Amino acid sequence: MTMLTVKGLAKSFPTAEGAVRAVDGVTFCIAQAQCYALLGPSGCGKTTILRCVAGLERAEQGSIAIGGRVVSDGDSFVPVHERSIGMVFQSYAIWPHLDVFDNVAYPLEVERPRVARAEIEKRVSDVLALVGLQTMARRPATRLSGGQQQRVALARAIVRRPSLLLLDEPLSNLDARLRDSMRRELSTLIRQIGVTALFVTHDQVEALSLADRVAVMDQGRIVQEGAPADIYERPKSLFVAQFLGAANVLMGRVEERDCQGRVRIALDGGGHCLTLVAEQGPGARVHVVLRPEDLTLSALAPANERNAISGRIAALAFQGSSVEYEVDIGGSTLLRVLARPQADLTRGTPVWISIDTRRVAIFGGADGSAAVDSV
Amino acid sequence: MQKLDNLDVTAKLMLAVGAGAAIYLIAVPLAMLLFAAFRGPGDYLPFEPGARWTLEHIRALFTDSVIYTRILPDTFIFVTGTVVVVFAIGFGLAWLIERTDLPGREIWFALILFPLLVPTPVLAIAWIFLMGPNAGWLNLALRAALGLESSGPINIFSMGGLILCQALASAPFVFLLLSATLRTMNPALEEASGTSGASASTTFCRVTLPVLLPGVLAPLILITLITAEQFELPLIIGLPAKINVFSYRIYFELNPLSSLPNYGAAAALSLPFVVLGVLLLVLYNRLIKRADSFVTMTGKGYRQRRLPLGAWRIPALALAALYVALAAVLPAAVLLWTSFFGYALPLSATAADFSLEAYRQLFANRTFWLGLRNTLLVAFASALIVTAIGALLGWIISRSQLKFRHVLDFVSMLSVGIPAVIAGLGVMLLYLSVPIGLYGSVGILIIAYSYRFATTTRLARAGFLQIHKELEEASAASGARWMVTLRRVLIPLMLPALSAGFILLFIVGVREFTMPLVLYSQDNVVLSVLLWQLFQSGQPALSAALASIIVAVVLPVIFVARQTLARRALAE
Repeated sequence: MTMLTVKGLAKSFPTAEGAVRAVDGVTFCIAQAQCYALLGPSGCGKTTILRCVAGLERAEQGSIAIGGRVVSDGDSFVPVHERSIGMVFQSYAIWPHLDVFDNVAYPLEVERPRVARAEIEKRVSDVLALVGLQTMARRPATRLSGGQQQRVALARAIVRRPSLLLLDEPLSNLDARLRDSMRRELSTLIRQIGVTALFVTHDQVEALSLADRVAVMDQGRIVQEGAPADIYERPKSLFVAQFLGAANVLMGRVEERDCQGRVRIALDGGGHCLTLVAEQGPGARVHVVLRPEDLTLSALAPANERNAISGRIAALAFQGSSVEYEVDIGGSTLLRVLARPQADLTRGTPVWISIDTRRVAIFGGADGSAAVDSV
Repeated sequence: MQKLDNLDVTAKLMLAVGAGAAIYLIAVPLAMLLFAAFRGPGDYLPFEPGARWTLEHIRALFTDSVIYTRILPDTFIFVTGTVVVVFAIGFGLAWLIERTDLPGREIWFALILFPLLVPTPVLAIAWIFLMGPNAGWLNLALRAALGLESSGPINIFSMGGLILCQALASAPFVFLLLSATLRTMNPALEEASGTSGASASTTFCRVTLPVLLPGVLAPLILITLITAEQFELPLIIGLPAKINVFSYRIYFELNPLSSLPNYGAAAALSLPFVVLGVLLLVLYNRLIKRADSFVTMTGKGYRQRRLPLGAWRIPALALAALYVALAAVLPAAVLLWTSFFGYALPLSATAADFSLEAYRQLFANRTFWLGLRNTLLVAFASALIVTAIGALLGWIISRSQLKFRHVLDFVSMLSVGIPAVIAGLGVMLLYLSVPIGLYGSVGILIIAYSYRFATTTRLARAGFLQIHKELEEASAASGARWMVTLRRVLIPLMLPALSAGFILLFIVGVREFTMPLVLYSQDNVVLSVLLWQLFQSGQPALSAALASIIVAVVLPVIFVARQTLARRALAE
């Protein structure tokens, strides 16, 4: 069953330079118990979509249906408090004048018809136990840590068992270490209670690890939608490829093409060449996208030098289980490579980078559109 | 930002009532004023049968020589002189208390607020007792000390005396505005200049001064406007000195010595005043925006660097003590003394002269109790109305996307630019024309007082801006209607700001003198007006007793005010 259907949603905001189209014809749907992420850079319109779904903003065009009930279209608009939603705000929005229990009990207390007091007590205790705050029910909201606030916000959002849980950058206010553990916890919890969830984030790790489906957004449109692995492996555009990983992007030109569809691409600057399967014909300008983790680094020349690039280590940053190397491949181009720590690789060491051509994405055109998957 | 899609009918109705009331309380009396200025003859109300359109009042503005030879020069000298003196006092005190290690800062802070809390006629009468040319305490003391004869050397009934008194009375206001500016300046700005290699004097010229400038100029504009609006001291002290300023002239047209009130002339005289007020306010708002964009307050606690006074501590203390003595301690003392001993010399009085007769007479007087009841009722009711309107306007201005909100912002700001005497005149014209029995009642005072919602609107707006919008949205997303959100989230969170606004407006209401005088009737007399009447009818002991009672009521408020208001609200 489809829990959320968004069709042709559009909204613009007036600015000093005229109206800006924040959301430009967005369509997607979320199945029951699915966790769906809208991923994109700030200003791409993802938060506006979330707020339209919540009813905090009114879209100009398009329709929104929650659990089969149309809540917003051309004529009708169901106000936010009449929608079956729970929302976790970016700032958490924990009311400072109430304690933990009263914050979480609030949605039940304002429900009409009234919920019995005993029922409220029970449901709040249950949900507090679920988020691990059962011992903190009477703690004032002003005395909570970031992680605890996040749990209160989540408890408050799910306590009335909404059809749809909305999360606005739920982890962005936490520090890095806490963010990792809360992400895992959130993922477990959402699946445990089986709620349908829509969340927005600008953090690709968050989106890829939490969501069942991810929609990547750019300038008010969804540019690619799919399962996390699918999007990561097969980005359809340079934008998606770059946004999903801190990828290296090199410019090049197709030199020749053989009968098996293999092309030889001369990279700009360093005089290096790659041979791989691609669609573009001779003469075409292309973007070559190389993920740092897909590159292999060694001090020795590989047996097959065809798809290997030589360079010199310009900088390295130790990150624990891996090291990020920056390799100068000539022509003032630096290639980032993520590899296991190797003692013999220090600054200035000449190295070889081997490229697995199956993991290379080629995008033609100056703007990087017309995406082609490598084989 | 939300439009009003999420509001139900009750909520929209409430906001509409708030906006409507705001416009009604300000715009309708102003419109009546405008009509009256162009309707004649002057002793007719604008819509009375027989009144017609005319330009005679406007023409009189340009042809009446009194305006050019007396009113304009007097007003100009009064305003300029007062602003210069009040700024010197206010800046000096603010700087000493906020930026130096002056001992006893908290106590000085509380005492300086005294003139802001008592009705101006109380101060005026006390200063006349102190600085009256013949028998004023200070004059007697000075004459004895200097071996002088006859009267003087200080004559309160002069332009100099009026300016001094007005400056003493307005100093706390300037002091609070400048304190806020000085306090919110981030010392890191100055420290950054120091670490960049600038000397202390270079830092002061290149950083401190430019950063402070908008925050200093804005209060300058505001105090210019507020001085131009003053009526109480020009009436009580200026009139015997034959000083004739704009605000008094308007009152004079309404209460001429030997003819009918000239509504048209009063209204016409008000128009340039209102225009000037609006212009100054626009300028003020520009400066405030600039000052805000320099905002130095980050919410992080930082310690203000204080200048060690060293040997200058003694003169600094003497300056603070001189102000507090003239503006608070001596006035309170002279009033209390006079209420017990009559207007007699401190030295010549004996214990046998001590008498509670003045208090006995006062308590036996029915008008005293009526005045007390009216004062408290009107102050309380108008503070309540103004706080409610301010909160609704504050919400609309800070939270909604309605285009209309700019109009409301302007209207609420307008109230600062309308002098009490003109507000009183507008309300008078309106309720004389609309016969619903309000004229002469306590109700007309409540309505008249309630035009001052600029302060509460600003306080409420600042309060709403501090409440993260998501706190409100979280309530709606939890399923609460707007009215529930208002009751359970917004009002509890806004309570500090709202109660600060309420207390402030209550004090303003208790102090009010001009509007109840303009709208005076037997039934709606308030204490400040009664005080002036007693003083005018030559009963110094009785008026001193009443003034002492007012001071006794106000004194505890100083300490409440210092906590809840001064540090946060008045800084707005």
